[in-house]
Amino acid sequence: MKTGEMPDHLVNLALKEGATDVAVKLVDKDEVVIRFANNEVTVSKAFREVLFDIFLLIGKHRAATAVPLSSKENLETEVRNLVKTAKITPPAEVYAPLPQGPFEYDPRLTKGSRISLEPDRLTGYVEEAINGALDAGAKKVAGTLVATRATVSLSTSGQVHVTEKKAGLEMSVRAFASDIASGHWVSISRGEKGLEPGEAGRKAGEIAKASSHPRRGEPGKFTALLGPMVFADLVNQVGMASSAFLVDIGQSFLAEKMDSEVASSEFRLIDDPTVADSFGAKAFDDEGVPTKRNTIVDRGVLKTYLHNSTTAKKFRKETTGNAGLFSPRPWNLMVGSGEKSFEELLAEVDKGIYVTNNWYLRYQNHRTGDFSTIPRDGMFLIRRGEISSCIRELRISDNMLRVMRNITELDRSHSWIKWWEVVVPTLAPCAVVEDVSFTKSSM
Amino acid sequence: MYSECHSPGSSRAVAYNREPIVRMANTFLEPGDHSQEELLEDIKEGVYIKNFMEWNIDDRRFNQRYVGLEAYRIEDGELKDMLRNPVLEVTTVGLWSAVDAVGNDPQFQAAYCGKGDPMQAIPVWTGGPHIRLREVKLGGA
Repeated sequence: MKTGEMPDHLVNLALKEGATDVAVKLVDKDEVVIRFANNEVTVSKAFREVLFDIFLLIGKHRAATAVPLSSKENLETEVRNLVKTAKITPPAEVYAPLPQGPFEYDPRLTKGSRISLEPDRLTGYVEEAINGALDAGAKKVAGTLVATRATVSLSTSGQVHVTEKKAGLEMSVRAFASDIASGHWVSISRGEKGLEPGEAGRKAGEIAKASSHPRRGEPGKFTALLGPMVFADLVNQVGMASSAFLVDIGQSFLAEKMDSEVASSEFRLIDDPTVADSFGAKAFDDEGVPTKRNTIVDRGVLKTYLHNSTTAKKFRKETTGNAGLFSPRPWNLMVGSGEKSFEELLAEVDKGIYVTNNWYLRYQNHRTGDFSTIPRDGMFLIRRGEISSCIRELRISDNMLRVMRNITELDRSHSWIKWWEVVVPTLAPCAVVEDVSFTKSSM
Repeated sequence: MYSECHSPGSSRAVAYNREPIVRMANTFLEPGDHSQEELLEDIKEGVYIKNFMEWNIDDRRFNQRYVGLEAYRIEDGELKDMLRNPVLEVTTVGLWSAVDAVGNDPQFQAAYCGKGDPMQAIPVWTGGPHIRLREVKLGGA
């Protein structure tokens, strides 16, 4: 039996063994990872990964597993064991059958894009990034290029039999002007045409060069000008907190906020995996439901949670096409941009801090949204509308809802961001946020 | 700059298709000789942070922050009422320089160490005893 025929075979086997609902996803992925440091490539790897995600229900009893490519007999054994596991698993609160197809899918999304995994070609992109940063004033450049081509096939007991081709390029560039002067930028793209490695390098290099001779920042409440890397992280948090599963288990600061003001009226957040040329484009979710554009926050007001069929039944809503078999999740977040340029936003800040990057956003309380995160790379004091000096060693310690409500303006340009800290591809502008709390170490 | 030394064998990868990274494995604080009661009895006014929720650390591993989840006020060597979310925001040097006593009661837990981009989250075994910090400012600056 061919590998591509296995999902249907495993679905039928699970049904025969007693499952009421089954979904089998086959991901066949080719990936090249090129890592670079000190202005040169340090490692280049190419590998193929074939993985079966198997999910089944026996009424309210659920079980799931992920199995690498194996023999037909081994995969069948995994399915039989999974049925046994489901039978002894405590029942869930609700039983929602997997959505019944067949469905129609957007061919622009299922056919995917084409990228080359040719090493010389990819190394060329890396050289563009390194040169972009060096030309901008960096002394050392490091980072990663990940190129992925995948075929995703999904079969379910709900008459879903669909295949989607996916491809993507992720360039992450970190530039250093000295040991403590650094800048970071990324470029992600569904195809080679949209990748901008030189531009990512240039921006990282410019931030690094401007970060020379930083001094310790002083804590307090400041107007914050958050660059796209930072704002994308905050937007990710809002997008992920809109998962109805996280709302249901009390792990979301958006719980009990439906139709309420959760952000400034300047803020509009959309999850749209139907934008065919974007990195996070996706034709169907993990239940086989066609994806669609969902407006999560409109003019600051929370309009929907993201649902799979189980959360939809529990919340008495329709699925939004965001399964996640256990927890719904956003696919491709987009923030509506503003009207002013970055320079105009900067000019309006009398006393503030410009933060270009951050990491380690962690919650003190998921339910209330109290969190902190650490700025890294270039961070700058703003005085009377101009960048006055570089600072470091401050932390943003605030509340997610308060930050989102204190947005006053957004940049008219925006960048696609995804990296270690920002998990979901996010189109984000710069944001001006009033009264952001910055703290520092006490000793 | 590289020093002339031998590998201590600390390089691990999460899978065959990820390169090894120098990282923690079984990492814990060596126990001292104080019982928990002895650590408490010398404290006139303090805070016992039993565990924490929010935490993060900067990319030089210098500035770090921990926010207590279950925490109690200490008065004259005794645990009193619970405290909500005490914040310890401190440098690495400040944290470890403040340690004046180490307990003899190590506890361990399974955890994950996250490193690399693409991310490699790898199982680790970690823990340690209670430690006592003197003259620490809680609440952040």
